[in-house]
Amino acid sequence: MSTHEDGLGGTGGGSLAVTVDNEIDGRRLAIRVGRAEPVQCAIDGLYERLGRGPGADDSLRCAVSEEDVPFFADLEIAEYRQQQCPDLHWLFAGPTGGASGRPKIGAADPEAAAAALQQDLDALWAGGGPEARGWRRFQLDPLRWVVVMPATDVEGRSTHFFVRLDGRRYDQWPPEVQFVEPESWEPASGGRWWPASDPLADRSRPRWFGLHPLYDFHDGDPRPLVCFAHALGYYEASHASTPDVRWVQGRHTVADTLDRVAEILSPPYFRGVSR
Amino acid sequence: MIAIPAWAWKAVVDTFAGTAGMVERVVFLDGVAAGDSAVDGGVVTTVTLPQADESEGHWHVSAHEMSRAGGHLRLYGLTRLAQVHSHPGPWTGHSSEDDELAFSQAPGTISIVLPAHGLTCPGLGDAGVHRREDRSWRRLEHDEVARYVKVVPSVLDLRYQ
Repeated sequence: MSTHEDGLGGTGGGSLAVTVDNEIDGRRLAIRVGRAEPVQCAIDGLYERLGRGPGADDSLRCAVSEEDVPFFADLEIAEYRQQQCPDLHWLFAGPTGGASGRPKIGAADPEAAAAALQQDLDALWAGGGPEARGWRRFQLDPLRWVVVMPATDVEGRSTHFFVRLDGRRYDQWPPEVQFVEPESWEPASGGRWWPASDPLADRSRPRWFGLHPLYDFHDGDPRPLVCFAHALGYYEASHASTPDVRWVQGRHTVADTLDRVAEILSPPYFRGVSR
Repeated sequence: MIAIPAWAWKAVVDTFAGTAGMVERVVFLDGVAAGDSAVDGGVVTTVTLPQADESEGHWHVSAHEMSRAGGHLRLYGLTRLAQVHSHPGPWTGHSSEDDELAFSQAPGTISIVLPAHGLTCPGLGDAGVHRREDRSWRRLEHDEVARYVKVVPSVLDLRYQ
C-alpha cells in the first residue's frame, strides 16, 4: 500500500503544506510554500513534482469548494487558505492521449514543390532580414537548400549550424529540417553539428519543439528528427497538433520554419554544441 | 515490478477486441502500489476504461474524464500503475505524442502499446513496453520486460485428476 503524506493544510514554521491528490495516478503530493508566497508558488511546485509543464486543459481545483486554483494564483497562500480553501487540499487532473496514425502526407509534384520553395526563399531574402540576422543560403539541388545559421547560448557564446531544408512536400506541408554535417550535407545525430537545446527552458511556454538524435519512425528506419509544427518531421512522426499551431498551406511559409529554427538556436533554449 | 493477473490481461485484450470500429483504444491498469514511487511497481487489481475520444490515428482523454477515471483510486487506496493503448498496425513504438501525453511522467512509469488494435490477442511479448526514465521514455528490450512487468497466473489448479 502506498503511504500518502499527511497533514492537510498543515503548518511548519513559516510555511504551509498544500496537499494535492493527483486524480490521474492516485498519488498524493505535499507541496510546502512560505505563508507569504502567492498561490502560484504552490502551483509551480506541483508541476515541478509532476515533471511536466502546465497545460491549457489541466484541472486544478480546491477539493472542498471545487473552485479553480489558478484563478487565485496571485493571492498569498495564507490569505487563500483563510478565504477560499481552508484545508489547502487540491485535486489535479490533466488530459492524456496518444497518436500512432501517420497523417496522409501525399506526394507533391517535385517541380512545383521546388519552385514554391525557391520563390518563398527568394521573397524572404529580398526583404533583407536573413542577411541582417547573419543567415546565408545555398542550394544543394532543386528541392534542397542549406541555410547557415548563427547560434547563441545564454552566456552569449556563439557558433553556427548548417540547416538543410528539403521541400519535397512543400508547400502543402512544411520543409523537412535537418541539422547537417558540412562534409556530406547529410543529417548529424550528435556531436559538433547537432545542437543541444532545452525545450523546457522557457517555463512560461509549453514544450513546442523536440530534438531527437535518433527517432523511431513508423517505417522502422530510425533517423534524426527536428520536431516542431513548421517542420515536416513533426507530421511524419504523427503528432496530432491543435489548429492554432498546425501548418496551414497559404498562411505559413519556409520563413516561419526558419524563424522557429532560429529560436531553437537562441536563448533561453540553446545550450551549445551536443557532445 | 508490476504484476498483471492473467484475468486482467484477458480483460484488456477482450476490451480492445470487443470495441466496434478500427480505432485506437486505451485502458489503465490500477492496483496496489508496492511503494511510494512509480519505480516500485505493484499488483494490478482493476482495469479502468476511461471515456476516451478514440479515432483511427489517435486517442485523447480530457481532464474531466481523467478525473472521473480516477475517482475510485482515492476511494479504494489504489494507484494507477500503467496504461495500455493500441496502434492500428504492427508498430508498437511510442510517438512523441505518446511520450508527452502519457498519464504520468514519473520515472518508472510503464506504458504498453499493443499492435493491430489489439485484435490479434497479443501477449506482453507482442507489445511495445515503454518505461519513463529520468528525462525521456525508453522502449524496453524483450529480455528486460519481465524485470518491470509480468503477467502472472490468476488460478493455479495443481490437483491430480
